[in-house]
Amino acid sequence: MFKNKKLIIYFTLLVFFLVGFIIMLSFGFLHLHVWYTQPRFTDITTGTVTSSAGFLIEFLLFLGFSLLPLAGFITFLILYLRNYKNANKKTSKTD
Amino acid sequence: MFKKILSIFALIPLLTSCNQTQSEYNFTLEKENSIGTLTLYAFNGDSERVPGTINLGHAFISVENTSEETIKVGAMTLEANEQTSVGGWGQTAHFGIWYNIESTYMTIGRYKGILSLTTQITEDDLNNLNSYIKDHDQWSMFKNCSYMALDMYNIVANEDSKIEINGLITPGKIYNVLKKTDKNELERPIENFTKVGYSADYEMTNLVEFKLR
Repeated sequence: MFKNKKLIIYFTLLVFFLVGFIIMLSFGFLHLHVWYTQPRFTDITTGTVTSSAGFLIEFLLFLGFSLLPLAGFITFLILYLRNYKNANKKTSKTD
Repeated sequence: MFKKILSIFALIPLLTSCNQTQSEYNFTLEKENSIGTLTLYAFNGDSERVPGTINLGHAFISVENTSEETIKVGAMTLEANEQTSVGGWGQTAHFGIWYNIESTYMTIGRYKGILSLTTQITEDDLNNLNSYIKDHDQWSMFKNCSYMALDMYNIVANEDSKIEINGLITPGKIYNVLKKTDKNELERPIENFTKVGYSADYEMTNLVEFKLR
């Protein structure tokens, strides 16, 4: 699977960023769940429901920050795949 | 000799921690010709924190009419002995000052472990408070609930009882100050309140009314 050191490094980093992305997203959705389950008030005349935007803002912050590990994951996935292909070409030529 | 110096240094954290348990603030909260009371509340969020989430808590004030006359607190009219909570909220219906959200939440068992500090207020204090509410009916990340609550408390507090907090004001920071005062109260209830809502206009004449769903 790993034919050179570079591939090992790229693979480790892409897994690291993927885990980071999943953790950030989970925390985000946890905040969304808390926001959804909190007590709400209804406008007596119009019936409009209101809720505190605090947890919703925190969800959006986590969602926004999860884009950083996602970008890291995509970058290292591209680097890994490129190097993987190159490594395969080299080995097939030598074969 | 070296051991003696070492033992003195070892005692320092112990001595400072002893000092922290004593109350550091001795506020004067009584006033002549008072017509009501204003209570500053700070909840650090500990009792409601869902594991893995950020819960910074909440800070707000409540006003009680202890006079025989009817008084106005922002858009809320208070008869004798009535109370209202006033808090800055980023609610989807209105980003600004809301009345009695916190008092309603207290009736359903929220804000366990909340700390408060109560000061008496005069008619002049109430007028100052009302003009502040009129000009600050807004909410943002920096001008948040704690910023509003602390401002409203400082407007009416005696000179020796004002609370200064540097940097971003959070409920936790106010909670820590209240913890160090000798006159703080734990879970002071807000009773005898009426409507829930926010001001419909700048003149604070009407209330957009809400009820708990």
